[in-house]
Amino acid sequence: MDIKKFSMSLTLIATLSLHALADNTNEYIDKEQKAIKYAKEYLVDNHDVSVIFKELKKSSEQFNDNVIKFLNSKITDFAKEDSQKTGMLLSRLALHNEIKIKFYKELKKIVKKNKFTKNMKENLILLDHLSKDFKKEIQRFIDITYIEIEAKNNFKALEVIFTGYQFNDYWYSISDVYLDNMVLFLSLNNNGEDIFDTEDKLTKELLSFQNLKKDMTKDITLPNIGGFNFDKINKTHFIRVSLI
Amino acid sequence: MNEYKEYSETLTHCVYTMMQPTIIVKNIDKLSLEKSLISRLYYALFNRIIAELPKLQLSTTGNKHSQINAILLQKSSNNSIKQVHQVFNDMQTLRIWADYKPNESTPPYNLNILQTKVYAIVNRGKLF
Repeated sequence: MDIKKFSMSLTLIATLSLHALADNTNEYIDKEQKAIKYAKEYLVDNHDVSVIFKELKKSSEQFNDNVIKFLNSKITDFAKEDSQKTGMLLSRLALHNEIKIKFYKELKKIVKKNKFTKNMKENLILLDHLSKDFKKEIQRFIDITYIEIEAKNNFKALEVIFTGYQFNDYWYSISDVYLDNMVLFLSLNNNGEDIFDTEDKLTKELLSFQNLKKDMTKDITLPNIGGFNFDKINKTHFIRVSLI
Repeated sequence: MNEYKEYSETLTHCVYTMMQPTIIVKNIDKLSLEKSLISRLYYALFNRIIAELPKLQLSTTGNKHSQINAILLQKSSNNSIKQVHQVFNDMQTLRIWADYKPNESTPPYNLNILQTKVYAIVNRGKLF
C-alpha cells in the first residue's frame, strides 16, 4: 500500500437510529484500527507516517462530531429504546478507545527517540487528548445507560403495584446524573386525586424498592475494567417521585 | 399588593389564558409554546417565593435562584416548606430543560399537573 495515498475516506453523517449509529461507528472503528496497524508497521522502519496521523486526526474530529456529540444528545433515547444494544455499542467504543490510548502511549516513546516532524508530534498530542476526552464521555454514557435501566425498573415496578393509576411515561434529568439522590419524574393520570398525596404514596413505595436493592447489592463489588467503572447501577438511587 | 406577588399572579394568569383550547398562537410550534409556558410557571413560582424574602429582593449580589434554593432547604424541616422546595427544584429542572437544553429528551410532562402544583403555591396566603 502506498502510504501517501492512504485515506480512510470516512462517510459518517448525522444518523438517526441506534442501529444506523452502531453500523457507522463500527465502520469508524474498523478504519481507525486499520490505520493504527499501518502506522505501527511503518514506524518500525522509521518512516514518516504523518499522512496516517493527519487521517487519524481528521477521523477523531469527525468521530467527535458525528458519534460522541450525537450520542450526547440521544443517549437517553437510545438506552430507553434498547439498553442491551446501547451497552454493546458503548463497550465496543470503550475498547477501541483504550486501544487508541495505548497506541498513542507507545508512539510517544518512539517519537521522542526519532526525527519526526514537529507537526506529527503536535498531532500526536492532540490525538492523545481527544482520546482521553472521549474516555470521559464514554464513561458518562455508560453511567446514563445504567440510570436508564434503573429508572425503567422503578417505573415498571410502580406500574405493577399501583394498578389504579394510568402510567404514561417517566423521565429524569441527566444534569442530575452525578447527584447521589435523583428524582424520578412521572407522567400519569391519577383520577383527580390530590397530586401531592399521589406523590407521597409512590415515593413511599419507591423508597422500599431502594432499600431492598441496597440490601441485595451491599456485598457485590463490580469490577473496574480498563479504567471504566460499572458501579453506577448500585450507586443510583431515586429517592423521590415527582409528577410532572 | 407586593409587586413580586402581583407579577407572580400575572404570570400564572398568562399561562392559564395561553392554555385555553380556544387560544391559537400563530407561527409557533407546540413544543416551543409549552417550553415558554414552563418557563413562565417557573418564574411565577420564583416571584411568589421572593415576595416573602425582602432581603433577597434588595440583594444585588449572587444568584437569586440558588439563594432561594438554599433558604428553602434550610427551612425544609417544615413539611409545607419542604413541598415548596420540591416543587421549586422540579420546576427549575424543567425550566433549565425548556430554556437551555434543546437536544435533551423531551420529558413526558403534563402542563395541567404543573399548573396545578404552581397554582397551589402561588395562591397560598403565606409561605413562611
